[in-house]
Amino acid sequence: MSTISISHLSKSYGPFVAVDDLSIEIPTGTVYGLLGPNGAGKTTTFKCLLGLANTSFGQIAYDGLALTPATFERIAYVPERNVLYDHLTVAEHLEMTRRAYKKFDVKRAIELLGQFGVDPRKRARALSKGMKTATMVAIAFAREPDFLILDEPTSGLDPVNQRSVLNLIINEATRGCTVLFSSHQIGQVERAADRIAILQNGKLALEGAVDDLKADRKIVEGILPSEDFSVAAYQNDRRIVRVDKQGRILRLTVVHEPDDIASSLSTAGAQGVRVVDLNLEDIFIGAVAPDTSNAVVVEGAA
Amino acid sequence: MAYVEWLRVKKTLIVLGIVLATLFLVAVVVRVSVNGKMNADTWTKVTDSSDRVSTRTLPDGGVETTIVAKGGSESTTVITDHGWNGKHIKITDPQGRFHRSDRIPPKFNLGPVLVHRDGDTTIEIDTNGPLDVGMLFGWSVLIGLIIATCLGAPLARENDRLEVAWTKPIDRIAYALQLYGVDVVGILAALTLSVICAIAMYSLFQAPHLTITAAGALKMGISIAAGIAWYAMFSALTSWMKRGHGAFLGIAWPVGLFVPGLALIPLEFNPVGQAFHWVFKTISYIDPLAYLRLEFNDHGHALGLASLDDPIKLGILVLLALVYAGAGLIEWRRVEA
Repeated sequence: MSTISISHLSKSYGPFVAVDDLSIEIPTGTVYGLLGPNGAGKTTTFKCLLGLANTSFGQIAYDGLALTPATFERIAYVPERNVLYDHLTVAEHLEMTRRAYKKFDVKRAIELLGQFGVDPRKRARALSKGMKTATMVAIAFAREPDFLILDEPTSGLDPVNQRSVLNLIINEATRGCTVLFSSHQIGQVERAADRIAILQNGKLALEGAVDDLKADRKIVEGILPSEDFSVAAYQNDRRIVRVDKQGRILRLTVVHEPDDIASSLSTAGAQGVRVVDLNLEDIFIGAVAPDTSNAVVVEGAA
Repeated sequence: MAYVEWLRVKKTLIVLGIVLATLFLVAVVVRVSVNGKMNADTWTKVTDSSDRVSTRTLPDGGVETTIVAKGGSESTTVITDHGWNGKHIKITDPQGRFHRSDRIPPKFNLGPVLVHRDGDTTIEIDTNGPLDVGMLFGWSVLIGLIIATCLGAPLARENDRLEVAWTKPIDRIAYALQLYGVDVVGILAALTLSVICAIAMYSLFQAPHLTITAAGALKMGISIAAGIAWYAMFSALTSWMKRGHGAFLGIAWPVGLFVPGLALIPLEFNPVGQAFHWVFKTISYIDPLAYLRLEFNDHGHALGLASLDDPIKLGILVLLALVYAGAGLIEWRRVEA
């Protein structure tokens, strides 16, 4: 068992509420994606999870137990920013980690560094941003932890290494590791995550299994007869939760009867009307947009 | 756990080793350049035929030679030759240069040479005289303070990487104590290295006869405690900082040196002066440098807090080290990443 429970977590910095009453449960072996715009409270959540910041309210539990120093034998964390010691070589970082934790596979770390193209003899200050991230990731995965907490683990990496990190995340989950990670690359989250939580202004905007979230909604899109075509009817339709209009292109996020809406759009003169599956980007944008009783209309330049 | 701190200490000690090796090489050059002038016999050579020279054999087998100068200086030189155990030379000079100078302390010791004025000026040279290791530690205090500065602010340095420091499977206080421990070992190693270097340089000129006296042991304790208190002070004052601790370490030296000096100036001519005097005096109590002999009067005596008895100074420095170290730990616990 390696579950992470966050219960009514709140964190304030003076009057600013960074995380507001966040409750999520991350089951064993799950890859859990934490999404949100900048400043949504993702990194603060990670810091509270690890005790790096004091929580204002709420509880954190790993396997039902509070965080203690001993828990860190089972947790590997890759922070958002570079925390390598500039004056140390990569090999010295490996040695530091080997001395600090009971379980650390040096061979595995060297193998991963080789995979990412990082020379262990180099000093951290001589590494590029991506190489620094790769080093931190390699060290974290070589610890074979029960809990992996990764804050933007692909930041600065090239596409090939980004894919490698995603594969590593999926493999770790297969082994039984519980992975919590954040990324602004929604495509990556969509590929790796079983469940997601979307934060907005410190609050939980949406949470659930990725497949379930996708199944609930469809996109109806088409090309309108003219740019001044009125979308008011769709805005007031309770089956539609979001209206995106860019010039003549219209995308409707639909919760019920997508085929009927597609038909009505065709009847209204739209061309190329089709019903497509929702992707995570649509879910994300839908979740972080201001909440209104009617569908949200987002208009962009043609 | 404190591997990175250990690497930092190792690097600092390597640099210190290079500096000390350079000093040793300079001493070697000096030793080579004065070769031939180092024989004690050349210092006490009879140059005037009118000098009266007498010799006798002592019960322990040593040979005592007494030279009474008749050439107007009225000096008396007694040379006691103990063979392999060295020579003891005592020169009594009623008209010596030291006798006339008020700037020279009435008694001072420079390696094997002891000079004291009490009516006559007496110079004693012991070519195998005791060399107090504790006193050498006292002289090495500057090295200890410099190394303490280099290693200072260990907690502030971790503040920039709390994501690493605080995700190790160890209690934060225990981790901080490990950092302290490694650095204290570094300071002790630096003091020891500098004493070894001093002995090595001394050995170039004559065989050292090492001893440890109670007074020397106190000096050793003060030297060690001063270095550690100075280090702990940096730790306490910077443990909350995420950046900028380097600048703090830079300005701490002039402040630490000037405050005890300013505290000695009686600025009591008006209320503002009195306030400043009180501030400087108060700060000097918590300044480890104030307890070291930095200011002297014309008679070579230490001034201010440095004039306290050595056991008291040692006690205060130990107390300061403990209080500063504790304050650093308490403050560090409150830091957030």
